[in-house]
Amino acid sequence: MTVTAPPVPQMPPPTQPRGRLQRFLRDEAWTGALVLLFAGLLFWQSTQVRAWGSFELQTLATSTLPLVFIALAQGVVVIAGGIDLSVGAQMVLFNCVAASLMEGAGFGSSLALAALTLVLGAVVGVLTGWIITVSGVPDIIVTLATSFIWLGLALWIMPQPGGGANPSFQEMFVGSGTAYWPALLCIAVPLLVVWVPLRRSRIGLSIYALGSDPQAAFLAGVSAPRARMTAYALAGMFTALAGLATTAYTGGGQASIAVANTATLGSVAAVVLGGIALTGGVGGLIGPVLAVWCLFLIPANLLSFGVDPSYGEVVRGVVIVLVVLSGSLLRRKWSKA
Amino acid sequence: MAHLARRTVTTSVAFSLALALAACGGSSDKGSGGGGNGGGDYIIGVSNTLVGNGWREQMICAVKAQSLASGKVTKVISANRNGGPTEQIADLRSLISQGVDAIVVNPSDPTKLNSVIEEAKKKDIVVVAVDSAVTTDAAYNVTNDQKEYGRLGGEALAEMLQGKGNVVEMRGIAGVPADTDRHEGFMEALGKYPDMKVVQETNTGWDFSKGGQQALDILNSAEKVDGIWTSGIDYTVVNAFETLGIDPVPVIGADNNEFVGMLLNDDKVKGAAVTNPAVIGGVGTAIALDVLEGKSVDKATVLTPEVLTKDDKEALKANYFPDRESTYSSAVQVKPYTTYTNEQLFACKGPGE
Amino acid sequence: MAQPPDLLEVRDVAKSYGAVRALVSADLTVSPGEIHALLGANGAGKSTLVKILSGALRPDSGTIAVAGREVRFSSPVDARRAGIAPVFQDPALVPHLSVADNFTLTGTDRAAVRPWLDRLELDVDLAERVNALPLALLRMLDLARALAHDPQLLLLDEMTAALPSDYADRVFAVMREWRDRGRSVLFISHRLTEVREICDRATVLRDGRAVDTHRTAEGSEARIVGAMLGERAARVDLPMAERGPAAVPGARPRLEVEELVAGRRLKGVSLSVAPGEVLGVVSLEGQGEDDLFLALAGDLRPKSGRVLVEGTPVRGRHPIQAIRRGITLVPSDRQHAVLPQRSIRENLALPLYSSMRSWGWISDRAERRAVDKAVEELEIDMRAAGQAKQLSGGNQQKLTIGRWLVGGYDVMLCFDPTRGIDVGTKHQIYRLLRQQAAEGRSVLMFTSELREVRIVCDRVVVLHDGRIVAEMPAAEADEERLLHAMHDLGPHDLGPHELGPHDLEPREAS
Repeated sequence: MTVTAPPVPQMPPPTQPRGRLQRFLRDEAWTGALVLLFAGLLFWQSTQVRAWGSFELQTLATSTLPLVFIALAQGVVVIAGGIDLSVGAQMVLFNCVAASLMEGAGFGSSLALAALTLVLGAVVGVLTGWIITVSGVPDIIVTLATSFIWLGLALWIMPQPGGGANPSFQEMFVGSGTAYWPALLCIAVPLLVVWVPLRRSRIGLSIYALGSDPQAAFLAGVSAPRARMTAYALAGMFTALAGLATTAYTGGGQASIAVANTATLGSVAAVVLGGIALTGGVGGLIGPVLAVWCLFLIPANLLSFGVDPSYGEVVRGVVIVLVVLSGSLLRRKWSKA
Repeated sequence: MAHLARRTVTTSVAFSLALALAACGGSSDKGSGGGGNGGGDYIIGVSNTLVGNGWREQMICAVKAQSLASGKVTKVISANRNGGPTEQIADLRSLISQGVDAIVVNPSDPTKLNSVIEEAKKKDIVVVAVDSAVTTDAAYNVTNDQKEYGRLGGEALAEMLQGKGNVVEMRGIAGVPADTDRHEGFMEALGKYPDMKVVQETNTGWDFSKGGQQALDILNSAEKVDGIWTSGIDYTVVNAFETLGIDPVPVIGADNNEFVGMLLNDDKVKGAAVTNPAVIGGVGTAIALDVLEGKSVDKATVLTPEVLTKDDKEALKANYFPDRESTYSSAVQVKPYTTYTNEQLFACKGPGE
Repeated sequence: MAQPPDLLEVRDVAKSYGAVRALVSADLTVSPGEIHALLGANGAGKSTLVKILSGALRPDSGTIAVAGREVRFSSPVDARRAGIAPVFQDPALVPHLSVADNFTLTGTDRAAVRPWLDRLELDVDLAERVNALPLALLRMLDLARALAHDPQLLLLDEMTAALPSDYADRVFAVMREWRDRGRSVLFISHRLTEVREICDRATVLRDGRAVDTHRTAEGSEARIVGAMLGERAARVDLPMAERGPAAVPGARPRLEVEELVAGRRLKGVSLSVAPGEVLGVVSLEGQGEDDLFLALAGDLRPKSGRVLVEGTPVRGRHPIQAIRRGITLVPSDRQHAVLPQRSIRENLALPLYSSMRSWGWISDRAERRAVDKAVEELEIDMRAAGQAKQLSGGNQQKLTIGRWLVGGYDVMLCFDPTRGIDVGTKHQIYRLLRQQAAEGRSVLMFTSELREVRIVCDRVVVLHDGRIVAEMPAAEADEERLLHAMHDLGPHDLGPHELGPHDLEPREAS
């Protein structure tokens, strides 16, 4: 049998590499839109408030600090393809731990205790990831169960509101006077020191890979248990930061189930609005921060119109639904086109 | 490339839509944020972190009614949501940003709001904590005297029982400051009557149906009961007697509308109502306005409860409103602070609403 | 002359998935400096062996030695460390990461990839996200990545399937270069021409065993096909199932498909089925056959082309629309079609429930009558009437077919209906299908068991690379002819590297 030379269609030259800027616009379209939304809300607020300035920015930055950290924690876990329903409970636990340990402590020892809390956070995270890996039970169930454990522990440590915090330590988070940059710094430092380098490293990439396509990740040599535990450990450190921020913000601790639940739900909302796909592998950690800020500004801005805050909640919910709906519809359209 | 441009544009459009929708929530009365400080053109803010509780809602209504009645307030901004100190700090800061002149706050914690209250004081905003106190002296505190609530009720019960007999103490929630204070006052009163014995103590959780059930259980037990003191769970306890078909013993309750009505209209019901007025919000508003007007006001105002007995039909009549709900706090006026009419309170509308 | 030790030595490797024995006893040796082909029909165990060699699966028994040392892989990393680098038909690149990040993830030195990118003439922006790039390019990138690890053995699993010809040529050039460096390649392909051209030796797997290893220069395609078929080639065919009256020639076709393009692999198929006709479809794996059946069943939206029933186009994107037009699908995986917890009766009556004809109550008596008839026709074992999951695979398959006898249909799409079913039941199903045709219905049947074509079908079309490359009456369709056509070696040769327009589309973002 002779092999005749068949007519050979050629692969056309690969599509011209798109410009850096255009690719950036495409990949960061969601974040960009969030920036616009945030800027709009901020501008709107500035037109309402008589002497708009650093006080309002401080309000925004400090009030949202715990929720920002919680959203970051949830963000890391969701990027790894999981979900953590215990972030709020962890925050409350670390709030109680820190507030009970820090009562009457000096600045130096407060810092040491804060470091200890961060380590505890990592331990809690690794433990969570380990249970999920070993048991094979879905993360949503495991973290629901652990959330009860953390809340129980928190109530055991602090049956009644109390505890305290060193004033200098408090200022480190919430700033003195109307300084808003300490709170912003508190968000920026962990992101820049931990997340940005990690994001470029193999272990950070393995977190994305696990969430994006577990099979491809496996074939690429990613160890799923290790990537998962790293993600949960990072999340634990962020919830520890959330607990510390709550301690600094309120100058004490409170084992409140309602606070934990609200924070957990808020974190999921922020992650979704922040452009992290619940299917995993997509998104960054800037989006959730902006989302938390937007979600804070909406009811705050409505306050001056005498809008009942319950309606503020409705508006907040409608915004989430609209944004996520339009986002997914557009995505579907692009993938079909 | 056209693709890319389109998707970016559409995303922006989607977000603008969301933004526009959010903007729809507000409307045209923008600009009133700059309430003047002179000439009594004030804006009052109110902060509450327990939503869906009748007593708290009435407290907010009283703020609105007193603001309206004073004629010095242009707007009441209400920051009302469920939460803890974290949320309340944010709410107080938002109220400060909204340019309020005074804030009436029912604090969720005695100390955790101190720094934000001090911040408000720096901006010449008057902060009045009502119901429970905050520890900073930057705020004015207006509280109901809970110890006196317990003591007066105890005294009234002792008087009705002529200083001797078996009594039941039905408390609220263990560990809550108001409950502790009331208990102390009650014990202080009983201390003077060695022949009065507390034979049962329960925690009702300030839950009316739970309190009624507990009363049934106690009355069904062999124990002889001569009188019952309650921390506000009153009319369901009286109903328990009716359920069992026995004549009620004296019951001390609070100013719950239904209980006051029973005392007024049902000859078989014995006992007294000790007031715990929810309109303390109105008192706080009046005090805030006094401070704004430059009057000298004490840092701490403690409202002494009144005792409404069966003998004083006039007082009972003045504090009973057949068309309000059972648990409505029927002590609707605290003179000389409150100046609104009952109708203004019931309407629950602030200035401009 | 002293033989150099074999680079790879696989001895007696076995692997079972539950009761299914995918590999019974696989032996394979690859020498240094050779390109070795691994061949076999569908289901022969090729992909299982490849997964074991790349560390993605652990064998149940048997030994694997690399350069004389026995190895045990517990992950793909182990395999890579031992010097085996795989490239799969579906590249192991993480979709939401950039190409560069994917290199970092596997610890691939960027400087080591660069020359291979140049060698493969890939001009690609490494900062681009993987799911924005075409599949063919991703395979090439995966190859470059594998080469950068400088493996002793390059494992290419169907890598050239549907690869544009210029890309394929570069792959072959690199393979030769690799051999010239004294390294080895294990090449898995369906394209026998490629194998003959480039490979030094070939090992053929059949039914989970290695049945033949020969120098490609000495063997012929006939030898390969013979090895793939085994004794089946020699076996006398079973008598054709009883035929009803032949389809009326020139009658209006019941089902017409015009230039249907769908999914990733179906690139334009036209066919027609007459009333009373069973049309067979055969192909190698991954030639678009599943896309064809899903598109016809309304489960996959066609990109272009038309489907007509009785001359009117079928529209819509949901199976219910196809079902309303009388098109029903019997999938090969019964697990997808049977409600395991429910009774046989309910399973059979399912189309009655979902039919939109009657709102409200379903007449009990009508249901029972229809179901009883189906049970009788199908000879379903009713001893396990309570729960369908207790039935054998064959009886479950009869359920999924019988359901449509109850529900009524005009065109039945059967996708490999007898896969994994015992011989007795198979014959019941053959008889059933012929009976349906005799009653005037139309059947389109894909089968991986080629001899079924002559038993059941009237006519057969051969699918290759998303298109129909051959058509013949069933009577002429012996297995050898079919195999030749499936490998696209036949007279209808359109060229092995035919490239459809959809190969170049970016992968869909998931």
